[in-house]
Amino acid sequence: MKFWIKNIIYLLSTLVVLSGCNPEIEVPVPSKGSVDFSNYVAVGNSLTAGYSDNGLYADGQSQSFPSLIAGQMHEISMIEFRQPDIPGNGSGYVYVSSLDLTTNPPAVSFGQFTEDPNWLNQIDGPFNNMGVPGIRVKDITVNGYGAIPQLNPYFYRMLGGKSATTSYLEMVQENPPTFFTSWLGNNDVLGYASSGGVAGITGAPITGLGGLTNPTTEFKPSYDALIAALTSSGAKGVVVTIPDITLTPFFTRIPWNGLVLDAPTAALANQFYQISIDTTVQKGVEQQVIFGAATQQVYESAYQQAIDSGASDGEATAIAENFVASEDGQSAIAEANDIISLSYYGLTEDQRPNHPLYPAIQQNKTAIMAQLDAAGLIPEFNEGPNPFVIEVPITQENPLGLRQMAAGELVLLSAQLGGQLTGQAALSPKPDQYILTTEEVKNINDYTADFNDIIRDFASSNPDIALLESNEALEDVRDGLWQDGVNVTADYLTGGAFSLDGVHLTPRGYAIIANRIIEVINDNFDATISPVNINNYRAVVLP
Amino acid sequence: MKKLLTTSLLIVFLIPLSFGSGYQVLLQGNRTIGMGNLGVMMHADASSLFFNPGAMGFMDHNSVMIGFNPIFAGNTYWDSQTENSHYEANTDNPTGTPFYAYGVWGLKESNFKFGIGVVTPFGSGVNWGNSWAGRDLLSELTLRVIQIQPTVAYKINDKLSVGGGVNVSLGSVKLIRTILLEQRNEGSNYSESSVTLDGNATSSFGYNIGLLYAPCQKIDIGISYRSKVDMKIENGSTEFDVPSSLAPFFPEGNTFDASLPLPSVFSTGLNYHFNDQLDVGVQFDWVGWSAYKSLDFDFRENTPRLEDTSSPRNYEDSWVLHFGGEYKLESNIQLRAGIYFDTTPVQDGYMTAETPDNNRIGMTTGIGYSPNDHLQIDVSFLYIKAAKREQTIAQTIAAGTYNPDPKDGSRDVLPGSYKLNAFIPGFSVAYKF
Repeated sequence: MKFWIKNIIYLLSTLVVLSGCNPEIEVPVPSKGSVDFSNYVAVGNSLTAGYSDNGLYADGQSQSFPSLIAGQMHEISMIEFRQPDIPGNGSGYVYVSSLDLTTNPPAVSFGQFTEDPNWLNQIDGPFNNMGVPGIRVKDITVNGYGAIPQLNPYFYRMLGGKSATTSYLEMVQENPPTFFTSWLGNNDVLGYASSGGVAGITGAPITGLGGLTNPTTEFKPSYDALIAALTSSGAKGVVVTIPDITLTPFFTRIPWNGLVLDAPTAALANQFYQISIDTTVQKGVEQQVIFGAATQQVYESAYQQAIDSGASDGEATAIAENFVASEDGQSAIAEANDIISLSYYGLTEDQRPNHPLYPAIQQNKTAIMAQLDAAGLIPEFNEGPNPFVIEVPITQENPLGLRQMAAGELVLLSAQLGGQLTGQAALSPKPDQYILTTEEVKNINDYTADFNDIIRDFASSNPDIALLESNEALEDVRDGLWQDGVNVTADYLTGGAFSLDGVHLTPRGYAIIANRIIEVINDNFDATISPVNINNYRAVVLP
Repeated sequence: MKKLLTTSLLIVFLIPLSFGSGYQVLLQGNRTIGMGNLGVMMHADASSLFFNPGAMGFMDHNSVMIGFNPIFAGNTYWDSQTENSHYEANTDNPTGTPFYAYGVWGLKESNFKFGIGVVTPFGSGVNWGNSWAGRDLLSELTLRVIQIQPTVAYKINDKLSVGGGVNVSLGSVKLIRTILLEQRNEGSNYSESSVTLDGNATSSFGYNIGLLYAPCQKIDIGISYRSKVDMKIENGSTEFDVPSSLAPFFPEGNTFDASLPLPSVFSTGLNYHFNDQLDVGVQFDWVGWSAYKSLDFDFRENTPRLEDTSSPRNYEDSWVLHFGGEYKLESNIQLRAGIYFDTTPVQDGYMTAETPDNNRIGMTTGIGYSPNDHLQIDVSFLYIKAAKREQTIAQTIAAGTYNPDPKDGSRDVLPGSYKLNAFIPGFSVAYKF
């Protein structure tokens, strides 16, 4: 009897131990294909660094797309992937401090997490994630680009133990990868775009440091040198094109006709612009007519003087014209102008119709007002959505220097953050820095296209380099993407892909990029890297 | 004192785990389990009260029996529907602890037997955790059902006995899901949102009837039927852990109603008594799972972001086929073995994380021992194995449980491959008098 009980207890305990295991499913073993992942280096800018919400901070950096890819590679073969770890809140970043979803549109306000006191401490490399926020292709060969934090703080902090004059390219050369991703060039157009075009174009007058990079003299040579450094040890890699940045929420959040007015406000705005333009034109015409009369007076008196001293009509005309153009003539005109002005402006509004110049003034003003109206230069507002009014250069055709926006032109998110879209300011003309005109949008698109042709050439001329068209990912997100139980769109705040700065991605957006790159690696290099589950990566955090 | 004991028993034991198909839990007699869960027609003992009240009339003794079957069950998921994915997830299920207790009594000279049973015939305890890929569908589910059944049986003659009982079901459901939305906590910390629904069922009534027919000494034939019971949860509590900006849409103190059918079970079986040592039987069950159409949550207060939900389940009736036998090794030691095949009620496209079900094979063995004329101890082992089941995206789209619309997608189920197993050792003690 004891025999049975002993055996039963033995059997029972064995089975209990065995049953602790979950059932096993045969999952295919992932393969690295023809790629050597052992030293994966990601070169790039803020998008590679994991920059989000207008800052680089630990939580965002830990979910950068290269680190997600490396995590999936790690499941295939043990690799080390080092990022220039940033402490805590890093450079500081924006967050949603309050959100009222019961109003339409939702009322949102933002706060700023302050920077970590140690975020600028330098760290020793080498780094696998070489993403440097702000860097442009034309910066990568610059010696001293990170010499002091004020130049590029993100590169500065990566220069631990190195000479302050080390360039980005030299750092890449010192640590040749076995595999690389390269996503650069966005900042070569972004500086221009986010300044509303104010930064200018390299080679054009008044172009600052943030101007559009020249494709042939600046972009190509630098990128050539970088690709040469990356492939020096026979590495395979993926290059990523520059997306159409004007499709990001920073440029799409506010529509060109996003000035929504009720009927009384629209009427008030019409009245305001009508009166102010009327006054401006009246003043301009008065000055113009008075100045014309003064010139006429000086001319005629010079002509008469010449005739009186025996000159012929032709001679007198030449003498009078020369005198008007001369310094003496000009000061005589100024003097006459002052006298006529006094005679005109000395009158009260009621008396002015009696002034001899009054009919000419009225006639000119009516003509100019009709001309402005015909050209559509007098802003008009209706109940509902209206185009914003913007400042433009004063020209012959547009003497007022302002007009309403047209379809295809963009209002920047910075206008909202700069308080330009609320209250009375919403009605005022927007300075150039908040607006991209059709011409400026075209510049951005043309330069982006030129840069992308150069990037595509790297892939088409080298079988070891594969290509990701990042704009396809952006278009897919704009169309709406439903994956792993979450909806992702390119909408600001609620879309899930873009962070609060409207240009950089959320961890969920970076997860989508990581999966696209993994797909390219799998397709081109016979690998079977597992994609990440995008619902493991967050969208915008709500209060 | 007695009341106190009952209460604490409920608290400790009411966590049965899914291991019959669907959320049925077939662990109501350890002698029965040992023989491939043959119960409807075997020699009567106290557990006949549950399996076949008709058989109770043949009992030649009075008896009190208690039994306990800890369930060790696991599920594994693989995201086989995403290209190249080797994403896997495992459950960390709590150990289920279904139990039963029976008391059967009748006067020696009477043909009537009276009994009362407390059983846990349905239940589920699944914990996928709050970080797996389908956590928005289910993190954790606990379904508890306890049935109390007073029963009477009448032996018409030496060949035929009938019986029946009325059962009252009590229970509770607790469901936790995450919401794929991050909320800011202290400082820059954030966490994922979640919802917890927790409710007790109002008591609902059903019945259980059966007959046992022994046309000759070699053969027993049993038939039984347990009715469907609709378990209703009224005013269950809701707890939404969401960003405070969304709080206006999830009013505090909101409640929900839901109902869950406990399906009918029809069983019939035959036992052949070879000789004084060997019995062999076969049994067939039909389970009325088609009663489970959808899982609906009806919230008392709806808001633009909190609408009533209805997830289709569309279960089909299922069946179970059992074979088993018992061999008397010595006069007081019985060896048992059995096997059963349990079909799934879950159709393609409707497989959820709460019951990632497939056809199952149950393999059983057991031993019975009577140290004296009054005591009977039964020990059983049950191992349940289900083949891997792959639910494709196409199946889920066809079933309407998965809508990959790029602008407005939604899902009630998670496509992919699932596999489950369970190991259930158990024992019972009966005192006969």
